Amino acid sequence: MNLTSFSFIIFCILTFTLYFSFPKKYKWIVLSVSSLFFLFYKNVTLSTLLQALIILFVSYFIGLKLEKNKNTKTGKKYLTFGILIILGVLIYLKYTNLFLTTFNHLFNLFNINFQFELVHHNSLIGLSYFSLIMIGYLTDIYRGVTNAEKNIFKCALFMSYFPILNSGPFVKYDQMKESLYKDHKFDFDRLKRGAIRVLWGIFKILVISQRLGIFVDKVYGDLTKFKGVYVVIACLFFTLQLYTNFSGSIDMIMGISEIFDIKLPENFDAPFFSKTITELWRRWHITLGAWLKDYIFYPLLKSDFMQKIGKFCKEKFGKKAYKKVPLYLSMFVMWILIGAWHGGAYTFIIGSGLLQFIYMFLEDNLTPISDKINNKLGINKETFIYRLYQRIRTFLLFSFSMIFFRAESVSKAIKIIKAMFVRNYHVLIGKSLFKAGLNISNFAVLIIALVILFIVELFKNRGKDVRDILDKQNIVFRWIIYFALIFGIIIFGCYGVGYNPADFIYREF
Amino acid sequence: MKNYKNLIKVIIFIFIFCILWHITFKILWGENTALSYFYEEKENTIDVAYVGASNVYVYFNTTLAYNEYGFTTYNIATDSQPFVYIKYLLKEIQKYQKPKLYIIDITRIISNPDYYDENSIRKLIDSMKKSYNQYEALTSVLDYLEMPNEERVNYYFSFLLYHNRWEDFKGKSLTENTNLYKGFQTKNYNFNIKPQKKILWNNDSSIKVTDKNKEVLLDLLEYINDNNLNVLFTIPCRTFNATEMSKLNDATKIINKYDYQVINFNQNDSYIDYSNDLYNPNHLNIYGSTKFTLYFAKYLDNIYNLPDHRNDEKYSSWVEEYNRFKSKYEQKTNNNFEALVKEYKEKYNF
Repeated sequence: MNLTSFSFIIFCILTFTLYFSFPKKYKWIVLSVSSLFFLFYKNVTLSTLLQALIILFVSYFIGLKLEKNKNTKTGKKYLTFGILIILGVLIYLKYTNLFLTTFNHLFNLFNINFQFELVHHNSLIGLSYFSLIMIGYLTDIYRGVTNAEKNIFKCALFMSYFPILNSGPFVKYDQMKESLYKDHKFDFDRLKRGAIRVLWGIFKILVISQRLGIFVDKVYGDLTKFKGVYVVIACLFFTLQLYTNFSGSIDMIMGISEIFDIKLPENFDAPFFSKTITELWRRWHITLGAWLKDYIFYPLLKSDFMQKIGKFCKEKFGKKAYKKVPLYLSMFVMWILIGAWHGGAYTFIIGSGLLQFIYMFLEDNLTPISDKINNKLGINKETFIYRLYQRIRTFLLFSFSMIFFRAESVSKAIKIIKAMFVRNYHVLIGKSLFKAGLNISNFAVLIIALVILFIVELFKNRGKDVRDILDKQNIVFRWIIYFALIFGIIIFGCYGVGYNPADFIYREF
Repeated sequence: MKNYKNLIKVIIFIFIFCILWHITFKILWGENTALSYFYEEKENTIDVAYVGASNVYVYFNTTLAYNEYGFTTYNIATDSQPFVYIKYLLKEIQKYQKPKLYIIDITRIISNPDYYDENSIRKLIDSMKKSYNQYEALTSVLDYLEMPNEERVNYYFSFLLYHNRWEDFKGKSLTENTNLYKGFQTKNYNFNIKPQKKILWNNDSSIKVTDKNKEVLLDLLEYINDNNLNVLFTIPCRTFNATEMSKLNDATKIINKYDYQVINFNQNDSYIDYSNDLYNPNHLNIYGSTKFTLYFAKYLDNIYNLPDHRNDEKYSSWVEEYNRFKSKYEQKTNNNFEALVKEYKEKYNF
């Protein structure tokens, strides 16, 4: 069910109505039934039922076992068993083709006349999210951070809470349990605030992201016609498209949860105000980064294996290597996993994994050098211009990596990069730019919408919620803004006849 | 108290939303058709309602018929209008008018579902007032066309199409249609002359209308019967191929069984000059339509005892529309329209 579809809107309204109409002790049951309906909507097969049941039963029963074996060797065995099964399901359904493609490449390389046929698995919506969430759940029980859920149906609700199935965020059981099963009373102000956030999310997706997508698809779809400036703009536009699409869907999810009064962690914090790639990843898909740090990076860094490597490097290369080598190795593994999580293809591993690692590695090693140069030249890093330069540099580097993320294959990504180096600056003058899917009127709408987005993000970067600012204004001003937002979406949204449904780029992960 | 205040706020908010919605889509909605202008007519002022497709709205000059005989006819017809719509159109007309006669053009009984495109579905339905009848009409045509469910939503919620029209909006009305004169449409191409070869009507009926179309026709005839409507069916004067003629003959037999008359204008068309009176094989041009109107209006006046409103102030808009049409004719041809009418009346004894 698409987040901006009529069916989803009707589904949400029905769920809200039922949720707030049912007596206290049945509220979580309404949410469970709705979530199961959403999970299996138009996708009830033996395979999808098995996927859900395996992950649920493993999480529930091993969770109960872990409850009694926290931080013990037996517990560790149970945990390993649980993680392996959940990961097995995830890898089988999502990454079989990655392995098969790798084998096929190797067969080609060694002139072996054999190729595996690629397979298509019908996986449940949000599988990549809830399988990692349940691994986190088991690990937290083992570590003693949280207790196991005794009611299997409540456990199922935690696993399948419908708003997060589309595009996250990653949640932890101890953060969610109280608000998920609690009796929430209807609150008009919460409904209003939630609805505004939902509308803002729809605005980002339908007015900005979909419009940017028209230009990006047109340019990337015909690189013989569109080169140079077109490709550079498409590359920048795709980053904005991805951001508005993903953060827009998160806004919708947060808004819906706010109406239920179920607290979810924020997933974005104005990432394009970041001065470094490291900072950007602290502000982009925050919960994924946090999950990987908690369950992959730190355990790996602290593992006996890494300690041994550290000691070995200390002996060979000195004291600095003792810290740096295990750190970079753990980072490398984590970033490759982040890339792989985004999709079972090398484009994702390079775009959202390897390149990000390289950026951070370079940042870590080049920053002291650039600081020295800046000091010698007397450049003040705290000026507006310098900060602006850092932000633009970060945005450009990130956009470059997203070329791989967007491309169908690594060779296509290289073609795109090559196409960028054609000198056709004349495109910027005259009307040539308007030949790539967006006419002058659509460009005008896009620029106005991006300015609005920039203002909202600017407030966010300063720690202010625009809704709080609006609340302080008089009713006439507030309502003008609300109606402008609603009719902005209705009139200028890219939906309906002539547009593809606004699907979510992050949905399939 | 707080809840009470919030409820009032919600009601006012929804009310303002509805007003803004109405204004927005009044500006952005599709081009007005004969049906949208039909709603503006004064209640119970239409004597004859002529329904069908393009063979109605470019054929019968309603303003000329009024000027000659004083009865009011309104063409409620749109491009390639699906035949399924006719029943619902008759229902819609009865909500606002009490015509003494309904004329139904049966050309589209020859068309299969694949003939119709989005334009032919939307032209009528999108200008119809929202009501259960509009819903039924749309559902019937979508069922007839076997439209998949996922595509139907675009028709039920037409703003999904029209919200994009802001791109065309340049300060001028997007909905105004100045080419319509009480349902008679005159665009620039209606003045073109494209000589055609006359094909003699063949009365052999070896090919029947499809079962699907027969079902639609029978349903319409049952409706007319049940509601005691005074109805006349017509086949327009134009070129038809043998299959089409055959199907129309079959439809005529079905209609005759219900004791309704079908006038086939191809069987008595000596006044039509095929080298001068058509702008394409399927449509009369302005000269052909003038002759046809004079011929058919005289027939209607003779047979149906229709009233003459020419001295009634209430019908002044018909005079205004006739004059507006005349100006357009004279502007396009540099000739006097009344002189043309006089010439035809004398030559063909209309």
